[in-house]
Parts: sequence; structure tokens; C-alpha cells
Amino acid sequence: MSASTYVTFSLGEHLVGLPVERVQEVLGALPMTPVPRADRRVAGLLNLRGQVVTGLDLRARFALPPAQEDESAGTVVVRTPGGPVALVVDRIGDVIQVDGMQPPPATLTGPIRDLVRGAYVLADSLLLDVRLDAVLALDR
Amino acid sequence: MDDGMDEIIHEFLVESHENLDQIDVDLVALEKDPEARDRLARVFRAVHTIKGTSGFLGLPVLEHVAHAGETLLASLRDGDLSLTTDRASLLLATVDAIRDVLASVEAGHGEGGSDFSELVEALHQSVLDDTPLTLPGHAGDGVPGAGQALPPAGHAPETAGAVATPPSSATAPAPPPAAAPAPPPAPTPALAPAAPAPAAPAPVAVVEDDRDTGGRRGAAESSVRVDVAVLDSLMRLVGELVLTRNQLSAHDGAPGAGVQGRSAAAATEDGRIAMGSMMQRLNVVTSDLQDAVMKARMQPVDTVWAKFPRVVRDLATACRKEVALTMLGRETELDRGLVEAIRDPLTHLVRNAVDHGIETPEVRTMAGKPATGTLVLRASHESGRVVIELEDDGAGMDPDVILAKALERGIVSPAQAAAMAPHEAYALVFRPGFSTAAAVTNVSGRGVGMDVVKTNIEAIGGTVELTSAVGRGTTCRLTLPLTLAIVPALIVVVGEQRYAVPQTLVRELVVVHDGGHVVENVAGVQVLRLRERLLTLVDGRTVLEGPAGPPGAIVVLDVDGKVFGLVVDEVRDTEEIVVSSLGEHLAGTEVFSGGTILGDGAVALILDGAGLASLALTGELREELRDTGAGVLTNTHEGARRLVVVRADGERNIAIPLDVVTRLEDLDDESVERLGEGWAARYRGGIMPLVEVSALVSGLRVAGRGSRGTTHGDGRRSVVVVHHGEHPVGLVVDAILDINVEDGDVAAQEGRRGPGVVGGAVVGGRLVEILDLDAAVRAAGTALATPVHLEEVPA
Repeated sequence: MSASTYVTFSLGEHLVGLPVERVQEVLGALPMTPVPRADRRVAGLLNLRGQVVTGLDLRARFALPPAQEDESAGTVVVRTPGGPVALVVDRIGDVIQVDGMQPPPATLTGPIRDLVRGAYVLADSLLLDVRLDAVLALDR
Repeated sequence: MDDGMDEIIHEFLVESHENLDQIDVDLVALEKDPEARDRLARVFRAVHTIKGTSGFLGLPVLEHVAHAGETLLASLRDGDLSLTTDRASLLLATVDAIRDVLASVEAGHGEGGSDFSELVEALHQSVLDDTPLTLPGHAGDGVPGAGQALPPAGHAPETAGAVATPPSSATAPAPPPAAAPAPPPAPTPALAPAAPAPAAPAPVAVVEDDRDTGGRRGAAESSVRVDVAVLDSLMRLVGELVLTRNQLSAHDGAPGAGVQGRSAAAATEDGRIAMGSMMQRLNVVTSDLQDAVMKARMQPVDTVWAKFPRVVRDLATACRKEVALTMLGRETELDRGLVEAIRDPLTHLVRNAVDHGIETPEVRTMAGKPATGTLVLRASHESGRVVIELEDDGAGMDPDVILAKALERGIVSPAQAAAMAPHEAYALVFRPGFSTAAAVTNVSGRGVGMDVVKTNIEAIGGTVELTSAVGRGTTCRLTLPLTLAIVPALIVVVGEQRYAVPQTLVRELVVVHDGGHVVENVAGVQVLRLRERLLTLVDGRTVLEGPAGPPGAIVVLDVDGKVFGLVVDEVRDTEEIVVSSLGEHLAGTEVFSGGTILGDGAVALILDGAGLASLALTGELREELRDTGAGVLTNTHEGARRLVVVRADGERNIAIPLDVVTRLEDLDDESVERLGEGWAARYRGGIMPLVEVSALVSGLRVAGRGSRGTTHGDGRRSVVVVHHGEHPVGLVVDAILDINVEDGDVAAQEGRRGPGVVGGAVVGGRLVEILDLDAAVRAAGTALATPVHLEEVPA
């Protein structure tokens, strides 16, 4: 099994990774236009260099409590067949190489469990590999 | 299949679709003029190419069919045979068969399972058939295929029922001679030549149009031909853009480049000037680039029209009618997105005109008309919009018949019907439910009903109007924006957020202030008393989850005849916005139709009229409201009409229906200028033609010519702005006497008809004449006939 490269970010107490080839770019906090009457997991719309892009609130997606004021937000833009989608996360981490995926830890419970494919054991934390397509689909 | 092969197949598909469209056009033209050798040679070459390539690509069925067609074409080309209607029909059936196979290849089903042996047999038979050469000139007059018992199309104008029309080659191939029965084509979703089975009364099965699903585009419409000159100019502009970018980055890194407080003030000043000139260049390059890209996306309307000769020919043959199609303004260009959007509605209108509009030769001859009916398609650019007109000289539509039908279907109430003017009756054919499946004949009535035509055209910001004269024909006029991507919109504020409302929906703005308009609560629904009528309100703050508060302004929206008010906190300005669609995650939000980026870079949502209208009244509320007399107003007259009474032509009182009046204005000499043969005023960023009512009703002069209208001696004149049709028109009057009087006893007096008036009435004890709006708009149209370009002036 060869090593794969992941873009990492934090989400509450979790460290989450996405395969680098799915990530278009990583940005800081961006101004969002909220969309009334929409799914509460949609954070809003943002202007990505002249393109209107939907932003998803990943905390809400993982059924985590809303972020505190002092937690700086970051944005991960991922490629999808329907164009770029922005994921609002807590803090952007490093780009790392990992290998040796484990099954998701048993301690992981709640809605997040269905969205995690596996985990990588790092020196001081556990990196969760999420099913991006399921996260984007908003169906569970 | 490997990529190289895929590439070749794709090329082949695109090219073949283009060739087949051209063959259609050529064959129809050849039927009328069999001596056009060059056309015949072109058809032969195209079929030959398809045959050769299909052999190379290993498509035996296709090769077989094309070969049979080629054999017949070769005989025709060499002059051994002449092109009769039967042979033309056979060749057209061959084209359809080829399309059929190509569609199947494109969908990845190989060559499909259709059996074309009968067609091939008929083609061979046709070559062996030593029919004596018909004299040139008579070759095209052959009777349509024998043994064809189609139900005659009703003379009463009908709108079609609702079955989806396949987007291309939607017509039935005319039946070949009885000796060779037509092959039953297998309907494939994209290109089904759904043939009417002779004497089969059952309506054609519904063929779903898979083009609307937003799925994969077919090979033919996923590529566009772009003029090399346009590409070159794009390249040049991109080069300029790169240059400017390099300059900017060099400037950015230079010391003292506008960084304040770090260098001498002079350097800063120089930097600022240099920066300014670069920004200016960037500005110019950007707008040029925008224009060039728009130009690259433009396509002549002919891309849609090209298949109409074939459509008309096949349909006319099947209905036993003679129809000559004339197409004017084929080079008129519009955005390719629009081209796709109008394809189906236009096809439907054309089919309708042939099937229901134009009468059979016998009927026409009896009516003293030439046996051949004419159908005219006209396209042009008018004041920044594209206008497409479809005119037939058929039976026309009788407003009384339409009204009777609408009454029967329960679309209008008897009271409404009694008060309807003819032009309003014509609008009824676009109402859902007006067309019924009962009206389906074998050939027409497949496809979208007229209500769907209207919905589709309005969805792209266009309008559709119908005018008709009994016995003389019907004209359908479509007005479309030049592009889908940029629309004028009103920016409103709700809570903290700005929203865009498409300008086409906005009827008026009402500023709420104390003592003026009163917002009342009726059965828990907010209504506004506006000119003595109750207008249902939709509170934008509730819908858009903003904080509640006193209403700031009310935007009166007219969505498809439903008029309601949207309560907002504030109205800003109008802006030309670039529309982007919302992604899949927001597909379900019904009140938004898209998003846009405003000047300051923030994203604003675009409100969707239909979605808001559906919130205007929920079912149970409507029940409650019915008892209280409020409701969503519709544009039909309910009982009494309300009028604006003005003075013109000396002491005459002229009345204008209030429901077409949008504003009353006082215009000074400054804002009135010459326009073509008449006068016009700058109005809301556009040009509004002026019509002098005195001239119109006195009948002495063409309205608007020569005079700027009477002024009040201070260089100002009273103008009533009406919306009747797609453009506002300013009616210049001597004085406005009375607003909103009720037309209590409609004592319509026939005797009062005259130029510019359609009748009289006694209102409030005085005699008034009712203005002929159509004549006024026509008079305005003459002023608009000359295109004008005005620089935008900030209002």
C-alpha cells in the first residue's frame, strides 16, 4: 500500500483529511451570504473569484455543535462534478503523507460515524478519512 | 472502445448531424426546384460521406441504409430519374433512419435494433421503378402518398394537447407510395420520427425529451462553430490582459509603488497615476473581452430554423395542405443558450400554424384565398431585444370561439368573459388547461401546449403575444433578451441582506408611509389597499428570515398575471446582474432562481417570481379570504373597469383602462427627443416612444410625428405611461382629468368608433371615448422602427 497525500483540517476535536486530488484550494474565512429557507447544513454562498459557490457548514454536516466565536474558520474548496463546493471548517492543518488505513475507531459515535471511511494513526492524533461524496450528498 | 476511436466517432456524429440538417433543407428545396443540380450534388456527397465513414467505423446497418439512399441519389443526379414527392419522402425517411442509428450510437447502444429492410427495399424499388420522367416543373406536384386517411385538421383553431415533441426531426416522414409501406421507425428518445400510422386514431405515445433533463449534451449541441476572426480577437485581448497583469505585478513590486508613508510623496503620486492608467486599461480590456466572448457565443437564429422547411413540408404533406414557408432575418444572432431554449416552443408554434392555422386548399379556394398558404418567420433585433414573429395567413382565431372554450373549461367566469377585450381573449390560449388532449390529431398536438410555450419563453425573460384576424391569419410574436446571462434587476434589502428581483416582474413600487397606503390584516393575511383594491402581500422578512419591523417598501410583482406585493425593508437601485445558477445543494429552494455577484463583491440571491407567488396564498388561507373579498388579483376585469380620464384633441374626454397604466409623468423638453419619425423620452434607463393622443384620435396625422405634444406653456407635458405589449409607451395628453373612476354603466356606444377610439361610455355623467390601445401601440411602433443606441445616462 503506497502512501497517499491528505489535506488536513480540524473540526471540533477531530482531525479530518481529504485526498489532495479532490481539493482545489484552501482559503481562510470568507464572507458568506446566508441562504434563507435552505438546508441548515448550507452555510451560504460565497464569491470565489467571480464564481458563485455554495458553502457547506461541515460542523453542521457532522452534527457537531456550532463553532465558538474564537475558533477561526477556514475554507476548503473541493472539486465536484457540478463545480467547486466550499467546505467551512475550523482550522486548516498541514498537507501530510500517510499510509496504513485502519477501520474507524470504536469511540466514534453519532452521525459522523457513517461518514468516516477509516482512520490513520498519527504521532499525536488520529486522522479521519471521510467519505467526501457522502458528505456532499447531504442525504444522511 | 479506445479514446482515439471515440474521438473519431464523436467527430463523425457532429459532422453527420450537420450534414443531415443540410440534407433536409436541400431536399425540401429540391422538391420545389428539381433543377438545382448543385443541391442534388451536395446531398449526394453528404450521403456518400456518411456511407464511407460508417463502413470504416464498422457500422454495417448504417452503411446499408446510406448505400441504398446513395444509389437512388446517384440516379437522380445523373438525370435518369426525377425527384417526385414520393422519392423525396423516401429520401427524407432515409435521413430519419440515419439519424435514428446515429442517436443510438451516441447513446452507446451500438446501432440499435431497428430494422430498415423495408426502407432499403423501397429505395431499391424506387430506382428500378421506370416511372416516365415527369416534366421539369411538375416534379414536385405529385399527390401525397396514397392510402393516407388522416383525420382532417379541424377548422376551428385548436391549441395542441400536451405530449412532448422530440427536439429534432420531430415530424412524421410522409408516407411513401402504397407499393412500399413506410418502415415503422423505432422511437428513440432524442430523435424519433414518430410516424403517424395511417388511420390510427390513437394519439402518438409520449416521447420524453431528454434534452430538458440537463443531462449529457448530445454530440451535436456540445460544440459550436466560432468565426476565426472572433477567436483571433479573443487571443489578442487575452494577450493584452496578460500584459496588463505583468505591468501591474511589476508595479506592485516596485519600491514606492503607492505604499503610503514609505517613500517621498512625489513617488507615491507617480505611482498612483501609473496605477490609474493601468486600471483604466484593465477596464477596457475586460469589457472588450466580455463583448468578444459574448460574440463567440452568438449563433444565427437559422440554427433553429434550418429544420423548419422540413417540418413544414412533412406536416403539410400529412395534412394535405399546401404551405409555403418564408424565412426572413435568418442571420439574426442570439446567445446560444437562448437558441436551445426557443427550439421547442418555436417548433410547436410552427406545427400549430400548419396544423390548425392554415386551411386545406379546398377551404382556402372557397374563401377566395390562394390555395397555398404562407407561413412567414421573421427575426430581427429591436431595441436591444430579439424579436421573432411567426405569421400565417390561415383561418385566424375568433375571440368569441376562444372565450366560449375558456368558459366551457372553466378558465374564466362568465362575468370576466363579458368584460374581455379581444386581445385579452387571445391571451387565454396560453392559460394552462386551455389545450386538451382531445385536440390531439395525429400530427399536431404532440408536444407542449401553448401554456408551456408561454412558460418556457417567460422563463428566459421573454414575452409572447398573439394577434389574429378571423379569416386573415394569426401572428405570434416572441420577444427575447439578447442573452440569458445578464438581466436588469431591482436590488432590495431585507434585514441585513440584499436580494435581486428581475426587473421584468416588477410592476410598481409602493413606499409605505404613515397615512398613505394602509397595510391591513385580513384573516391573518397582510393586504394592502392600493387604489381601492386589496393586494395580497408576501412579507419578505418572514420568507427570507429577516427581522420583523414596519414595512419599508412594497414591490408590486406581476408573475404570470398574478399580482401581489412583496414587503421589503428598503429598495435600492436597479443593476445589470450576471446570473449564475445555484448548485445542487440549493436546488430545492423554491424562492430563489439563482445568485449574482454585486459590485462590491458580495453574493446576492435572485428572487424567483413563481416561487414567491406560490407563497402568496396557501390553500386554506384562500378559502378564508374568499369570504372577505381579498385575494390574489388577476389581470382580468372583475366587474367594473377602472379608467383614467384625460383631455385631448380640444375638449374630448378620452379614457384609458387603469390596469395598463403604470405611471403618470410630467416630462419637460429636456427629456424629449427626436426618434426616427417620432418623439421619444428617456425613461428608466431606456427609450420610451411617445404618442400624441390628440393626433391619434383626430386621425389627421400619424401620431408622434411633427409635434412634441402640447405643453402646459412651461415646457412640460402630461404623459400617461402604459404597458401594453412589451415596451412602455408614453401617451402625451393635454391634461389628466380624473384617475381611477369607475366605469359604472358601460354604455358602450358603437357610434363613437373613430380613429384611435374603440367606443364610448358614460362615466360619472360625462361622455368619454375609450382609447384604442392597439392603435396607440402601433403608432408608437412606427417610431421604434429605427434602431437607436443611446449611451446609458445615470438617472
